Amino acid sequence: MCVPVKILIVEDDDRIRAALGLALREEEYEVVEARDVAEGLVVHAREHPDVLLVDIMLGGSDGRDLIREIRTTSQVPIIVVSARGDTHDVVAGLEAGADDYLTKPIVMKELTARIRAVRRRETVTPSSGLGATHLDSNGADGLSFSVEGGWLRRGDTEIPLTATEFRLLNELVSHLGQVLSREQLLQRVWGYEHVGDDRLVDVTVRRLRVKLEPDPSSPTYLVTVRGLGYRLQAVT
Amino acid sequence: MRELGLRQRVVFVFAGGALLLSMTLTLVTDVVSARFLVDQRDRSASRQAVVNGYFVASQLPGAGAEEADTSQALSAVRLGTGVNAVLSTPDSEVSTEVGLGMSDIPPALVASTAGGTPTFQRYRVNGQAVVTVAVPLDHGRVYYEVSDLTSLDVTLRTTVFAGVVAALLTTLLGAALGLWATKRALRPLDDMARTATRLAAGDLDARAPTTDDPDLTAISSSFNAMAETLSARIQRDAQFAADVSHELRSPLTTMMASASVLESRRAQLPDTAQQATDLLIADLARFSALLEDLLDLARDYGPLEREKLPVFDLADVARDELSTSWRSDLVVASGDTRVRADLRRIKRVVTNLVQNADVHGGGVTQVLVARRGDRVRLSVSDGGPGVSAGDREAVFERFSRGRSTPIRGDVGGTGLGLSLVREHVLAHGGATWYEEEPGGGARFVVEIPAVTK
Repeated sequence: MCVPVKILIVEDDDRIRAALGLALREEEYEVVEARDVAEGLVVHAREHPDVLLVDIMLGGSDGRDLIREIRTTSQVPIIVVSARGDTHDVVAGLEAGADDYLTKPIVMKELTARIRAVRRRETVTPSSGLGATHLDSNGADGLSFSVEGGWLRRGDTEIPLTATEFRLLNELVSHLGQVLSREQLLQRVWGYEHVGDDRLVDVTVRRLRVKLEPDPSSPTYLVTVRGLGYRLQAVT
Repeated sequence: MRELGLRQRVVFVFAGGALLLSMTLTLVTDVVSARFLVDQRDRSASRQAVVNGYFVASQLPGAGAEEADTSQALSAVRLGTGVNAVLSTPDSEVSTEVGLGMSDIPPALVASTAGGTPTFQRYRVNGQAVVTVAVPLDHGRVYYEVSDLTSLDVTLRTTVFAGVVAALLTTLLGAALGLWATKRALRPLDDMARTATRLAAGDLDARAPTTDDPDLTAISSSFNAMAETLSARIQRDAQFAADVSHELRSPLTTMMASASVLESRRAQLPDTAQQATDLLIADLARFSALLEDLLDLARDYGPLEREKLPVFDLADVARDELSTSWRSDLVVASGDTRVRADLRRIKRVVTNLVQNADVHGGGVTQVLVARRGDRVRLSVSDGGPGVSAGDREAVFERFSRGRSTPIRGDVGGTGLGLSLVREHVLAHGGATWYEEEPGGGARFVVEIPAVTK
């Protein structure tokens, strides 16, 4: 690795932070640390990390606030860490804008696999041919997506996407009109080989709908196919 | 015979009481009224007969009257309907009715006229009730007046019938009253039974309805207090499990991250430190697995919402599980093996079964996935020593020691894997059991409902 990948660990437990730092440096990552939301924002602004590792429960403050704050300006990959595998914690972290989650105790092999997976935006293989794919019949004013350009636009306005949202949309666009199961999406978007969590897909789809759909509660582009999965369809 | 329930007993007592009471009342009324009516009838018949008898006597000449005279005298008497008269003299008899004669008068009554005072007798002629009054007159003559009592008889019978009908109605009414009373009295018990059933089914918010009845407030409020305590305790336990998990997971993260550094620097460590590191890492993994299993056991999955569950192929899950160790070809599938189930839980089931075979059975030898009627059966076979007959149920218990000796020297099981398998499968309405593999070895079988159209 010529330029090491920089990880920001936001964790209130000093020993966990130190141990994770040691282990990640051992894997030749560059590590910067913060212990709460305020410090996290400062360090993020100063260091421009490539990936954030954020504990949800940060003593007095809430890791989700940090994620929401960072999402207003940056689409940097974020992995939330929860001490509980409960639906509530995990979903809340993903809703706030995280790309993936890990449950303590963190296994280093899993952590590095997750870090590699969330950083794959650059290595997305163009699968939808050259140029932009139009997702409706509104022509230049409509919704269009370009893998090469790395953008989603409504008319001329670019809609910011996180790395995960981008990969999910790319997967759906390259299978326009086809149903993709949650399992398939977990494998292709998140890189889960074997055990994945459906909630990742569901929450990210929800976030994507907020960005795509005129009315996210009754989607027209990204529809749920009951019992099977999700399908992206061009709206005519 | 089965002991009667409280409700049945109360209804019986009410009905029986009503029956007894109404029957007694009917009986007394009937007897008293019958006697009164008959007495009155007898008296009035006697009075009338005496008056009529003396009237007849006054119409007759002295002794030795002609038959024509007697017959004329008798016909002069004005008799009511159903009343006939016979006049007997020492040498003849006349009557107001054809066919009626002295042969119809009971001899006992005839004999009683010797006393010289009017007497009467009640008896039946051809099934008809009659009362005959005998009035002895001068010169050996006797005036008999025969009154038909049929109408009185009918009246009495009607009274008895009405009494019986009233008694039966009263009995039914009594039973209905008993039923109503018990229903009212037992309704709080029914409510409580229903509430208890809901509590037992896991609805911890179920409470008995509150009541204003001072007799029932005590029982319903103490029942609700019990339910309150119970649900508080269960919630406290769940909270405790969550807290423990949080508290244990944090230090475990530090330990595992540090251990991974030690592992990657293993070559730089002296020999004994290397051995210690290996032990540390192995048992950290076991500790972590134990923690996960404990949390899985403590976790409240809630009731299964079947219509929200995904449909997937159980054979795919099995192949997926074994593909990490390049053993997917051990899976043999037949028939439609799709199920509608909680994927995460079924993955745990397959993972635990495979782990069990690997740790205790010397490795998986075959995984069969097959449709069996409306269920899909998955069985994991291993080449180990199997499970002795006495331990075949015990292995499904928590921290069971049924298969205590790991075959391999590495990480043992947590002792929770198979009990989790059973719990997850039961939650899906399935079944788990152990079978002996024909060539020795163990075969653990689970069945869960298949997707049926």
